[in-house]
Amino acid sequence: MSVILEVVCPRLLGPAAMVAAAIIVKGYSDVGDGFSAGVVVALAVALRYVTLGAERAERSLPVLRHAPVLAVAGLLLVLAIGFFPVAFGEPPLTHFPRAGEPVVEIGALELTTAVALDVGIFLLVAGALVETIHQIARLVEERRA
Amino acid sequence: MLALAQDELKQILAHSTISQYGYVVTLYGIGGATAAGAATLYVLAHAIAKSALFMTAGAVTVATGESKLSRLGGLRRRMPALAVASGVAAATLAALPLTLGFSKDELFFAAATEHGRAVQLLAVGAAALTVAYIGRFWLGLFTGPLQTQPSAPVPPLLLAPIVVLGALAVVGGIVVEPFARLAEDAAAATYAGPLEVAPAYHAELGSENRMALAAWALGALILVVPRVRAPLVGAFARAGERAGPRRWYALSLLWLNRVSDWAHDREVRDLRNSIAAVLVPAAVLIAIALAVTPTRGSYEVGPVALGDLPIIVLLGLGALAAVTAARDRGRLQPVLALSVLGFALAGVYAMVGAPDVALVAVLVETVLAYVFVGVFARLPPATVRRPRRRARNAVIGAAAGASAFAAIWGALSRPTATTGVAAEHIERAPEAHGGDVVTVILADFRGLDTMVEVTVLAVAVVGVASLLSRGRAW
Repeated sequence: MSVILEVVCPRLLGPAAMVAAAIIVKGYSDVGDGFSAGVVVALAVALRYVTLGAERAERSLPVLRHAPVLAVAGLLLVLAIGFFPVAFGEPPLTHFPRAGEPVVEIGALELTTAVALDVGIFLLVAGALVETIHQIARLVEERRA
Repeated sequence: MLALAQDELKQILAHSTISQYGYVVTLYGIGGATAAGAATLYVLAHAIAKSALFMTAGAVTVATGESKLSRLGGLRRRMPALAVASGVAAATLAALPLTLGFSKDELFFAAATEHGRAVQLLAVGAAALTVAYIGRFWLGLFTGPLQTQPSAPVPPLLLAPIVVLGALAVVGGIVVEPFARLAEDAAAATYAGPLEVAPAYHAELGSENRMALAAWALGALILVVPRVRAPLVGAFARAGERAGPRRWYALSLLWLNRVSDWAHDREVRDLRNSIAAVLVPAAVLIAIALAVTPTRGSYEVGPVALGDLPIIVLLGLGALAAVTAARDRGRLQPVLALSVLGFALAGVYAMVGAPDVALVAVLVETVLAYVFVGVFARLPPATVRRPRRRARNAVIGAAAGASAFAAIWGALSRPTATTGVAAEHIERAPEAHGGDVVTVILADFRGLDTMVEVTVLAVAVVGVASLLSRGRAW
């Protein structure tokens, strides 16, 4: 493994996370959505696995072990957003605020339940892909050992 | 008629069900308001009677351990309640008066009468056979000498539903009104219009009543004269074995199976055949589609503007990469060339105004490159065997490529579809507080789809985890 790769690849995670955040925040007014953001994060993590190997990658980034929890949390968030309108007698996936009602804005981010759904998708996709990467990498290491 | 020849209890009932649904289909075939109403009442009465009879068969088998009519009989004294309840159900099927079944046959005959003498005769014949086989079923079970000693009494839980259904049939025979209303509602749906289902007992000798009497008499005749019955039914059954639908069905199934096996064997012989099995039919289908669709206005070469230059460069790059991927004998180079092709296409998407597609294309392309490199790195060292039949490969490839080219060109030269649902989506995106139509569609308009898809994704990952590490999450 060349030195350049070893130095550059781990440092790409930060920018990748930034890009993912941007994709989500802009998602509703511009190109991108939770799925793309999740894949970007997973790709950055995958790059780490490829350059550092599974063990070092996981030791240097212990957060990764929460990936399954993240995926489940994402799924639950999506399902909750989808079905909580039912509790108010609305059809599933009714988004609030409704069409035409004012929206709270933080910079470019508009706070609507649809955005929360997108965040849920992001969590699920990122968590699920990282989990898959981990499993495959572990399998490869076991074969090698 | 086949029901008359069966010995197995449930087969009698199964054949009878086929026959009864034959009535219903006949009624819908006759058409008209009377027939539609009769059909729904028929389904209703038949459901009550037949479920009671099936449960009777089950209860008798549970109690005696026998399921053949020839080994059963005389159970009347041992199971009086069952005998009465299933007798009522049988009477309903045979359309005796004071049961719901009488109304069903009354309407059936009325509908048949509307339709002329031939249908009338057929209806009477069918009803007579029903009387005969259901009579044989019930009489065989409960009358005559005792054949098999029941080893256990019928459990009350098995008996209760039969009694309830039998009672329902009698109640329906006396107070037919609620059932008629039910049938009316259902029939209104099939008939696509309001209609009236009005069964009633008519004391005078109308044609329905005469038909019913004829059916009972004929049925009883068939029932009590086995010497007439046996050769007739036997001949019919043999004819059915020889040239009936079941034989044709089996034959056609056999041949279909052979053809499918042959095609499958060819397909899985090697990878090239498997790919050809997809490409060749696709090419043929597209060629057929092109032959029958009007293509005026498509396939025109427009002018090339200077601003299109980047697109042309990217497309050229993509074409070069594709050629490399096809020609190169290595492993890594074709993969990288394919990636270049994908990225070039993503660039084209970005330029022609589909940035969402471009973003996803870039991401998918990257993932694919990872996967390919990973898989190829794990393959054993290359033992390159030059494929044989290169000429055939080239022909198939060229045909598939040409058809794909034609199809894509045809699709692209249509004017952009901003009508219908797409236009509606674009128009309503701002209402959903969204600037980007694609995201709004994913999260809002088609949100349920998205929800199901991500659930599937989660399930798939759980599957991967359990396959690779026996269920440990990490």
